[in-house]
Amino acid sequence: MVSREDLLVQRCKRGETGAFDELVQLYEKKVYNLAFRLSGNREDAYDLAQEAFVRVYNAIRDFRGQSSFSTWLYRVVTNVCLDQLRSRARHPVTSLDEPLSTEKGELPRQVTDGALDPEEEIERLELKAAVQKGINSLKEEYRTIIVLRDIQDLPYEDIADILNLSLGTVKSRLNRARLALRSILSDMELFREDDVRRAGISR
Amino acid sequence: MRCADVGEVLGEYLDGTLDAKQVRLLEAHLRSCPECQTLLAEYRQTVGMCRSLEEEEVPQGFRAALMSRMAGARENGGTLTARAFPRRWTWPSLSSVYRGLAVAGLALVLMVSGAVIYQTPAIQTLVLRHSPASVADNALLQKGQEGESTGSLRSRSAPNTSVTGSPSGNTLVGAPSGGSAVSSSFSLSVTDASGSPTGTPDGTPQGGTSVHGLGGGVDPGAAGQGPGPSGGLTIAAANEESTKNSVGRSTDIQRKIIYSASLRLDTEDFNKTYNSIISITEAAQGYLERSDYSIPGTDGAPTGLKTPSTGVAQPKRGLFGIAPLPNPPVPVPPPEKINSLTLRVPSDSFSSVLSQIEGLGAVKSRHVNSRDVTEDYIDLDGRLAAANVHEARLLEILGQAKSVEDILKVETELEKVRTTVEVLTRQLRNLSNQVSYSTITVELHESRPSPFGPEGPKGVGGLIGDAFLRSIDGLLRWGLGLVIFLTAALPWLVLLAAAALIARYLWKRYGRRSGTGAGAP
Repeated sequence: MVSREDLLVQRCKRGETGAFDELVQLYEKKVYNLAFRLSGNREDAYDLAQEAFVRVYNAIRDFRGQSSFSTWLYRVVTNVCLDQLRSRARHPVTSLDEPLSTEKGELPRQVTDGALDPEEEIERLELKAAVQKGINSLKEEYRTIIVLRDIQDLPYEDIADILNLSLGTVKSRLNRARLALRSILSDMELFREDDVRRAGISR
Repeated sequence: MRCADVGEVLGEYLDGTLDAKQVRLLEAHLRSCPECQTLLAEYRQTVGMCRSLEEEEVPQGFRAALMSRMAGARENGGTLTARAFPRRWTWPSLSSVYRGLAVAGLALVLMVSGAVIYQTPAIQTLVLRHSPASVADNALLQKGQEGESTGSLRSRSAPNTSVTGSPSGNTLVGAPSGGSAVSSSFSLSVTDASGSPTGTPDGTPQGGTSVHGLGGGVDPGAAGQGPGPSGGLTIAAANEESTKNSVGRSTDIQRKIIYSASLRLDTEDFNKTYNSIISITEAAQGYLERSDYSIPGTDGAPTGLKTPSTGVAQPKRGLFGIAPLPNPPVPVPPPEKINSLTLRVPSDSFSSVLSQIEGLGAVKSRHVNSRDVTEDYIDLDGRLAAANVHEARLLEILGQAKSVEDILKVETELEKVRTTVEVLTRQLRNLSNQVSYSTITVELHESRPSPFGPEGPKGVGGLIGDAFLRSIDGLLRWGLGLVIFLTAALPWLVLLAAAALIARYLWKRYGRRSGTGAGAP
């Protein structure tokens, strides 16, 4: 059976711009969010996502369909981001605190739903910012796998494909990554007693 | 199950993929270990926190921007490249090993080719041989050799490849300043009446021929007549008679002061300044006593025509065993030219001449000295008078002498006295000359080391030509350096290539496993 995705890819290979536009439309949110979580800030995410789509467009004729298009796309995005992060590691330019301030910037919009107590809302946003910060301070391979699995919610098989790893490696690395993140978040004192107890009870 | 093993299985436990036996062991441990309970709880919460991170909205206009950029790239033809995006420049996807090698190699190339260029002066002549200065210098050299063959040039300094003589013609001034009484002491200037190619661009009345003659110890009236409009060859002989008389009678007791000055002058137009100095000197009834022209660094022959050259060969340096190109007839680039001039001007016009010469260029140093020789003068004068009296008395005695023995005795005495008189006369005249003629030493430096000589092309066209030739020259030098370097570096490059292959093998073998991704599409 030929999926819609495959059809679009075929049309793209024939040079139909409209088909690529549809593909972008389908995946821009995933791509942008993956780039955002990997890079940790929105400006870079924008640039990286654009870069990734450009690479996909240029290379789409070489796409053989050995894996699904989305897997291939994620692999490209991941590589683009990691390349960027590696060069960034040599020349750090962005502060890790940056996401925190931008999260606060979104405060007014989020408050308007009115369902939550404003104080709780602030706390919730700060917690998210702190989690992102924790993820950013993970080493590259741990961050990648956490983002792909626990944020982007991709299946293990796809992750193994994207990262070119065996299934077992993906699982064990994910486990180690979570333990590492746990100790970081613990150092940041993000775990509250009652939450821990609640989390411990339910499985 | 021990606490250390708990962390290993938490992921599978939560996924529900842990086998039943392990689950039982884990849960048994958890019941007895509050610490591992906390670990499990926090592990769960960590995963929960990550899942709670909501998806961000894509910024507005993201897709529109992407598509419009792509459309723009298509209109320009060709595929869209990352260059179309104003992003930070990143390395092409090379491994860090290759990057390191590339940087190191580039640095090596630059370093060594720089050194090679620095040590390879010879090739520059390929271009500069066309410059007017070298043409002129060649002609000059040839002329000098002709002069020597006819014997009219007494000496010549020929440092292997460099030009002899001053740029305005081979000026030879051989008069001793002491002004000895020998009448054959004359100064001689040899120049080509047709004018040398480099000579007197400002068109002096002599038409490129400057001849300076003087007699030793002549008085102001007789000296400084040198420059004859006829050109060619001029011999100015000293008038011994008149000099002797004038010195002998001088008994005035005014102060006798010797003035001397030395100047170092930097000039852009070497020949023009030289000619101006000569004109100023001649206008003040002075004369050029000596001119030493040299190009430092050529052969250590600083004294132009004074030193007969033995033509010391320059040390030949071979780089990487390659023999240097044959030496050009002109040292290139032209080093600073120096002309050391000794001028004698009447004391009256000393200060005016000095200030005029100072106005010709940038004065780098200036020393003015005065020496009061009044006492020496009076002393000499007195002793001369006494010697004259003594001589007169001896002549008187000689007239009264009877025997041959007496005559011989008196003659011997007379001989001694006459020698004394002669020495004293000479010293007095010397002093007198120094007093009436001040000495100005001018060291003239060419301050603009242009490879086209002092008469290099001027104006916009000339400057453009200069720049063009210079950059071609630089290119040739660089090219030669590169060729030499590449030849020399060949063995090293082979080594580096081997190292790169090993590095790539290791990268593929071990680097991949820890790396998170395959190469970009």
